[in-house]
Amino acid sequence: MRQPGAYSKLLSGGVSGKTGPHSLPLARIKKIMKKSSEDVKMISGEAPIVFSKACELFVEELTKRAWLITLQGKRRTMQKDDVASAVITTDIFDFLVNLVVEDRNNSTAAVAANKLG
Amino acid sequence: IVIREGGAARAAATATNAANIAGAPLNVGAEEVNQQQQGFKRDADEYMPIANITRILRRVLPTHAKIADDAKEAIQECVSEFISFITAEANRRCRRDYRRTVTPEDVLAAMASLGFGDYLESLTVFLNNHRTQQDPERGSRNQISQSVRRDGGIEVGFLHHHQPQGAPTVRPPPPPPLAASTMGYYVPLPPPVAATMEDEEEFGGLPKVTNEFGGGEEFDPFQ
Repeated sequence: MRQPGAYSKLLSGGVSGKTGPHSLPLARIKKIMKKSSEDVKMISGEAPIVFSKACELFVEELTKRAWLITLQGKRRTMQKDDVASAVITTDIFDFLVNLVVEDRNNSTAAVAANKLG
Repeated sequence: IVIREGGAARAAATATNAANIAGAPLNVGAEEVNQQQQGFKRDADEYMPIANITRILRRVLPTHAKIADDAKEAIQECVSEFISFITAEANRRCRRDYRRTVTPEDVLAAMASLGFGDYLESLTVFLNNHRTQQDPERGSRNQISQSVRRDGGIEVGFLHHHQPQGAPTVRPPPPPPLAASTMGYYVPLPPPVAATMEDEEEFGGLPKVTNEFGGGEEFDPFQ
């Protein structure tokens, strides 16, 4: 993996040089992209860079929604179920539903999913 | 919905833990121990590092907020699934158009059609800045444009800057129009860049094609 060059200071400002100019590791993003389907052949060098930013936006959105649910429960600790509820109640997160709800017989999230699904 | 490898690994680790708690035979195989270790240390190939994710979520939460470890892990898994989900759609677009390289434009268009259109503006600015910084001359000509069409659809394409007089590169004819795309989003193919393409030797192993509509700069930060 290429070490960040002189340009990284421009891009990163205060970000530590350990992960390079982007806050998420590009090589790992690329690995996950490769695994997404059998026939992913070539990936432009910039595609993981777009994902590094997109994943930030995604984490921010998921976290904010989960935190709202934590607050609704008058708690200060975000639990896994809060994340699951955020997924279930957000349309565009539908692709994550099977990931967050493991046991449809137990847990608040499963009960919520059962009500909606 | 396909069950991802990450989920399977987790289930296996859980099963191993349960077996150990129930007093399973003492000679645990090396493979099982490995899976246990992978279950605890989740910075494996398939996830974003938990430290990076924690940094991002701290940015949007109040200072007094606490986050349970399994909540962080759940977010970690969701991120990987997000990448896979978008990539699969982006790859589908490539295949449909007989292209072999998944480009940033494919990724952006996939996000738009899968409901993540809200991200497009930030991502477009981010990518344009990156291109300009990488190569101030060519990068500023390869900018992504994003406009809202009359019918409300989002169009992701290239701003067509005029080349300066006497530029050595030859402008090839514009590519043929795409076939009907999903949900009204369309990504016009950019003209092939005259510069050499970086070889993605890791992937494919197909012979190098010189007239590839690869899209934008073939910049490989991994070398």
